[in-house]
Amino acid sequence: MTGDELPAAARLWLVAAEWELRHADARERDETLEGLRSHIAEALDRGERVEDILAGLGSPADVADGVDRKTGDLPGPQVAGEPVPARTRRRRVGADGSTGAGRVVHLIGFGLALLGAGWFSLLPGYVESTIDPATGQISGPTTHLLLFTMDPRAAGALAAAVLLTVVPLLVRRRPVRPVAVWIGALMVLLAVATTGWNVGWFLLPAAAATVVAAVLPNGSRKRRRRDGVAAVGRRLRVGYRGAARTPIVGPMNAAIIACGAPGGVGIQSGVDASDTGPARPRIGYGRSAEGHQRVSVSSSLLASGSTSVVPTAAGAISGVAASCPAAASGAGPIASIA
Amino acid sequence: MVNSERVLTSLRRGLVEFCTLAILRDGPAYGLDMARRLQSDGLIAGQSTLYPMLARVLSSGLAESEWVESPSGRPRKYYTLTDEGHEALRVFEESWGPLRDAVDHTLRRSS
Repeated sequence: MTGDELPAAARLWLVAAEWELRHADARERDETLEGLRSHIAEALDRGERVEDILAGLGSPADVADGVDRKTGDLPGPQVAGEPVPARTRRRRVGADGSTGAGRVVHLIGFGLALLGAGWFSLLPGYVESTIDPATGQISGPTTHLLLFTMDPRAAGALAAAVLLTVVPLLVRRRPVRPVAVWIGALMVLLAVATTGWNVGWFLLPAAAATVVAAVLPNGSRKRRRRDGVAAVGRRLRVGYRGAARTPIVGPMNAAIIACGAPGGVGIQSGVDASDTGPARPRIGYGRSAEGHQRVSVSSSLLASGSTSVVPTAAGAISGVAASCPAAASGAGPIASIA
Repeated sequence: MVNSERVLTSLRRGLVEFCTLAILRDGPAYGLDMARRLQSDGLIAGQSTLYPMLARVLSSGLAESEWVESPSGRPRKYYTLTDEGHEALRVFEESWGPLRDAVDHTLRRSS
């Protein structure tokens, strides 16, 4: 009795068993199926019912369990040289769906995001000098870091962005992480593209790492934080003084001039059209403290020449500009008088 | 959830092959006969699990097979233990006794 001569139920059972053995070594699979066919035929010749025979054999899936002995706890005599079933050759993937490489790159991206945020926060926000209206003596300049001078909302957003970078690392469910990583990567790239050489510059290394993590098989989740950082970056650029500065502005921070205007007259508002498209109030604020006026001006405004400063007293501004250290050092005029 | 069937399945792996070799030590045997002996001894749940094991035994050289005409007229595939199979079975028997005693000792001491 050949396989084709077996009852339909037996043939179906054998087809199912063959499917279950699809990962097994071809030679062992053929040998196994041959033994099963012989078993069924022999039992049929003894007059047994096919239903009873198949019930005695058990489920076709049990055959595969017998093949996949690599999962067993006790090695048998054929371990040495035994072909490894294909199902055991799968690349090791974490429970969260990330590969080791993807996770490492993701961690690197997180570190870069943290570094970028820290670097940005520690940049000089402005340099402040004060002029005593009574004596005309200039004190300072004093450097103020962005960490302490940026808008609280911007600082909060920056911190939130760092936290968002951590969240994807903590996501364990497989379907979630790859999606988070890809969305984060795309958003960070978009943020870098839209912020140009401002905050985006700080995000660029992390963005690159996030993209690499995203393209890795079952990639990691680094980009999501980037994304948040990027979104924060846009707000930062708009929302705090000196935000138009870029890393290349670091040396130029010396040219960020803060001058007080004597006589209660000072720069009250500024317009930065250098990189944000529509002009918007960016820099310059007036604050009275014991008769001193403190004004900060972004160096990028000075460099671009697009700054428009509206003084309350043109003459006073001119005088201040002439006495400011940056102006004296050749950094250019502090402001043009409207 | 660990149940008795799961524990038995784990324990059977690796052991059943040596039990199969032990059956063959008594002389050539064919699949249906061995499957039912193993099942009646409670060493396998489904008879089909014997055949992938036999395939491995053959490929590893611990046994060999040949087709022999049976009284019923249908050729039967008989399995015979090789010298390597005898040696593997001997090593297993030497190891099994101490292992079984160690397990029993541990279980008794922890109970």
